[in-house]
Amino acid sequence: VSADSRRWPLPLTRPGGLVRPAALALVSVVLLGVLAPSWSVATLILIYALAALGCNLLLGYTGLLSVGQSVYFGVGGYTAAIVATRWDLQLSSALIISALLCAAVAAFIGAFAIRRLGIYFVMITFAFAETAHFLAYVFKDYTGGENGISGVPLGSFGGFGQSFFIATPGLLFYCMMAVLFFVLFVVLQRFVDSPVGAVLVAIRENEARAEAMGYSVKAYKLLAFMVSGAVTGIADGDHDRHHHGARGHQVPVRVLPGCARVRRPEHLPVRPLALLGATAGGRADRHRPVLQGRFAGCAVCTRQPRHETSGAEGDRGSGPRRRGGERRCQPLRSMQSLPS
Amino acid sequence: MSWHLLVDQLVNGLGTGLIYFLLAVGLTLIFGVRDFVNFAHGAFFVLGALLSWTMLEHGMNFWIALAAVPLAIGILGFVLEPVLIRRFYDVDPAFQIVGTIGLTLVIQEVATMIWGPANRSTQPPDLLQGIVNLGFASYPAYRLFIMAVAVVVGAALWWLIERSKFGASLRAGAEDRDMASCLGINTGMLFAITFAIGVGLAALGGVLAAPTRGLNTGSSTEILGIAFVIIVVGGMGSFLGAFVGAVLIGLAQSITIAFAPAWGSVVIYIAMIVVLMVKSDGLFGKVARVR
Repeated sequence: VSADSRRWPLPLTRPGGLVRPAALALVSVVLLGVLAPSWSVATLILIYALAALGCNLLLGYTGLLSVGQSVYFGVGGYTAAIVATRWDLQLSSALIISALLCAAVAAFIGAFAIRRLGIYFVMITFAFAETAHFLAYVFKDYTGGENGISGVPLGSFGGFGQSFFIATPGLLFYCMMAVLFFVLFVVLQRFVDSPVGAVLVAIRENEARAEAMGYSVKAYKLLAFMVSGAVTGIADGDHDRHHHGARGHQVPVRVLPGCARVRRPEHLPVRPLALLGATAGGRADRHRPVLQGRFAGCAVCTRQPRHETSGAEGDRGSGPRRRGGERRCQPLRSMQSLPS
Repeated sequence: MSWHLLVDQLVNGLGTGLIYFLLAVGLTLIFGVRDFVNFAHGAFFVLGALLSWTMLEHGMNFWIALAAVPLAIGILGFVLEPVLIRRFYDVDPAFQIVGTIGLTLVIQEVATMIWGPANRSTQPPDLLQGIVNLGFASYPAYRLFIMAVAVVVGAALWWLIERSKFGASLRAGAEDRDMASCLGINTGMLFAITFAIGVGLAALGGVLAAPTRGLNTGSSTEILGIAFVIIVVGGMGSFLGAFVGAVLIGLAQSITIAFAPAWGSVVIYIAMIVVLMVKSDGLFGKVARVR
């Protein structure tokens, strides 16, 4: 039993839990700026890293694989671009609008998806991702169809008609992105360390038991969906500033390779790994085929422990067949330390 | 709308549906046997199309490509199954999906290195060029040929699964893996062959589709999407479901295109969501398999 409780991925009480990850993130961001071949690549890496953070909340913490993360990436990007070109809003307001809209879209999609489990859950998110992709072509007047939206103004921060800071592409934009990434990183870190985050992990570990403990699993899943959507939306809200134009064909799997690597938070510190994953993906735009990153995505998956069918059957309950038998039999003790 | 246009669209829809059947049947076969979700299916389809393009560019016969490419991809699948795919069988479906998405990206990027990102399309053989008058509608000979191939492939697969000894072992292996191996069936080999047949069928679809539409290395997601719509609507793992689903989706798409062209692709994905919400196991899915 004690061996089992050692495997609990995230210690619920972690002295100084925020300092170390935050310091790691800070170091990563600075190192990235120093080491990356250009500001543009470094910025792109951070954008993907941010998207991977959103993805990781859902897949890594809550155990939900959404292949529809691109929806929020797309909605966030289009919203920021449309709002900026049509209403002439600054980046700061555009990002807030993007995040809110993405949370709303995520709530809508999540409301459907969380009613199904396993493969069917994934299929629903896939269907929504494809629907959204083709809707971008249907509403050409807003999205520009194949051509996308051009003439998106530079990212400026401010409010009430005043602009305090204009992020020109290059060092300034990277700094802005780095600050944004760091802030969101700390916020998310706090979120997953909070009682709510603990419930999300509990759902990942054993959904039936979390439900039996009295948690509304669906509500928590929906919440994870919305937060994840909002973060991913912010990521692309920046992305199109970076590229001066949002495009409809941001394919669904773009962000995913990063997530594959952050699936198991207990094995490695999550966030630097997410950054690493996004690093490999981000460089794709400079040196076209980035095999090492993508191979790594496959490799980590294949190293997953095999599912032990024996012994797991009895404990399966209504939850999806998900994890090794020994994980299913988590001692109730570790659940009792959850907040009620 | 004129009567003729509707008939044309119905015939078109049926033709598209039968092509879609070729696309989806391999996917449903692999899922039916090992509950394995192959997100790399579209990549094998595109790979088949690109290989046939290269062969035709080098002056080879269309018919040789039609036979050789699916065989080559089938062998690739046969090698890939024990090396990579087998490791995913007993883990959470999420890992299967992320893993095969990874495989898709690898194939896609390697293909982009070889063929470049441009659209590639091939010429149908001389024998099948031109239009055939069916009396109520005229139809390109090549598309009629694809429909015939789809029907033949469907019949052959049905025979293979339902009537042959191999099919009996396959069904036994799908039903109860341990018992099947106790009875002396080499289940590992069985699943490797199934996977090879599945991806070989995807490649066959790719070779056949290359003359009707351009395919590039990025097409795999689109192709995969259509295949998933079909097997979800028809019922995942159901052979009959793949056929009925393909024809239904083909018809739904071409009729929608007649009224509102831009909505053609949206409609089928909305149909997929509706089926998943109302009846997850589709029209012919096996209820017992639903988790």
